[in-house]
Amino acid sequence: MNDPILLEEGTVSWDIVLSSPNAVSYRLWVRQPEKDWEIVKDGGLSDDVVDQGSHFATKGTEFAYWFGIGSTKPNSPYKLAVVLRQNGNVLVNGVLPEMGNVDNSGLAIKQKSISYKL
Amino acid sequence: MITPPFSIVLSGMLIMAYTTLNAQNNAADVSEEIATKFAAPANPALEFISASPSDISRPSNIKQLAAGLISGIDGDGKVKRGLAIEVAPFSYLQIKITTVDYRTNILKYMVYNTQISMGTVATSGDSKSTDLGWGGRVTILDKSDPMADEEFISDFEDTLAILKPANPGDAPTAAQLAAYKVAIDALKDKWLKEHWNAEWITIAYAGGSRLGESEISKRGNLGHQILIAGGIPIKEWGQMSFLAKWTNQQNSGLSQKLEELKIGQRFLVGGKSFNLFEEISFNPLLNKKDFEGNNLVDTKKAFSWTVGIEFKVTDGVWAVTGLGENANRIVGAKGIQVTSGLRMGISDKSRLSQ
Repeated sequence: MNDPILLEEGTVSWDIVLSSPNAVSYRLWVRQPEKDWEIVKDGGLSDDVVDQGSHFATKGTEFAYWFGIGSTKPNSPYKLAVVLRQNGNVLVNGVLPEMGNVDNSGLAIKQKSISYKL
Repeated sequence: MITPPFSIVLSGMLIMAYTTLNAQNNAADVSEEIATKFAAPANPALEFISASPSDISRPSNIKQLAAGLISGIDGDGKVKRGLAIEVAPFSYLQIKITTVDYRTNILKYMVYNTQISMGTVATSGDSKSTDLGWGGRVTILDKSDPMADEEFISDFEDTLAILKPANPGDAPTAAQLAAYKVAIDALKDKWLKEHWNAEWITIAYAGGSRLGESEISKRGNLGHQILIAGGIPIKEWGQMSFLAKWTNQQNSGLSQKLEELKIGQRFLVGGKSFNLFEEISFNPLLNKKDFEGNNLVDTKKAFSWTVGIEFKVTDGVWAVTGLGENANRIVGAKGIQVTSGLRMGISDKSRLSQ
């Protein structure tokens, strides 16, 4: 997976799109160069509203997510994606899909961090 | 509510049943032999060919599926035994099914709850041939499905939040995992207590081929099976289940296929952890003419019955003990039998992953 490429130094907006009937809890972080991780957002996706927000990004800014995905159906599929945009345009490598099956207990944990390029 | 003395008696019977189970490796099969299954099989293809693989592959994208299918063929072009694949078509479709869609759109509910399966097993009594099975199941309705409940999903989401790490990349701690398990089990238990007998309908299909020398080009028809099963609640203490199944399947002991219809009813009284049940089914042989003069087949037997009790042994596992008589088609099979065994979930229907 390649890192997203910024159009310019500035604000990046993010959307989280859940495309399957799952319970999802999430946490997002951002780390600016030479700084500590900061929590950008804590939330859940069960309300069927696309969660969105924004953060400042420059070359080397890191963005990380954690998703706890749950279902009462063992091994059932889930689909969600984080979409990163600038000025309404999706960044190159700016769609971060997470697809798979929850485990036999009905749980999947997905986490990833990326570093913006410019 | 079960009174204490009765509960003690039942517990004793449970221990007896469970002890019997541990003493017999095939105890679960014994109960299946007698009791009509009032549910669509979890994996229709594997059940149709009587396969019980140790591992089932569940590819969630086309690449994994293709790899799984290719790995099922050996270097000589022969189909391997022990193959078991289960796929959810939803994973392969460019379709979005939100939690709101799931509880309001029956078509999308059915799409998400459609499963297709395939498997292979060594042909009984033939060291070179392989039985190939395929099938699918669709849940049309299930009011006991907590994922279709807005409040449950919201509570589930709060429970998942227990696992959130403090820093990116951190794995959940043992304490977090333990707290999560307690919370999710309590949530599921509460739901099950209130919805254990809710209405449901599932349909399933399975078919199969016998591959001579395990080659696809040398395939013969093993038959087909179509099934519809469902249940309705009786207040908060009981459930009435039904089953209608048509089967046209090769029996391993016969040279001809048996074409049978099974229409059954199951009545449960109890709760989320204990049930009394009775089952009756009408099971006529539809191709009687094919077996005229065949002393191996009883063409007249058509009724099966079972009465018994079932207890929740542990999460998702039920011990069953009872008495029953099967409409055994093959002459010489036993009449009335005492049965004991394990079932997965109420009526073999695992609604919750607990």
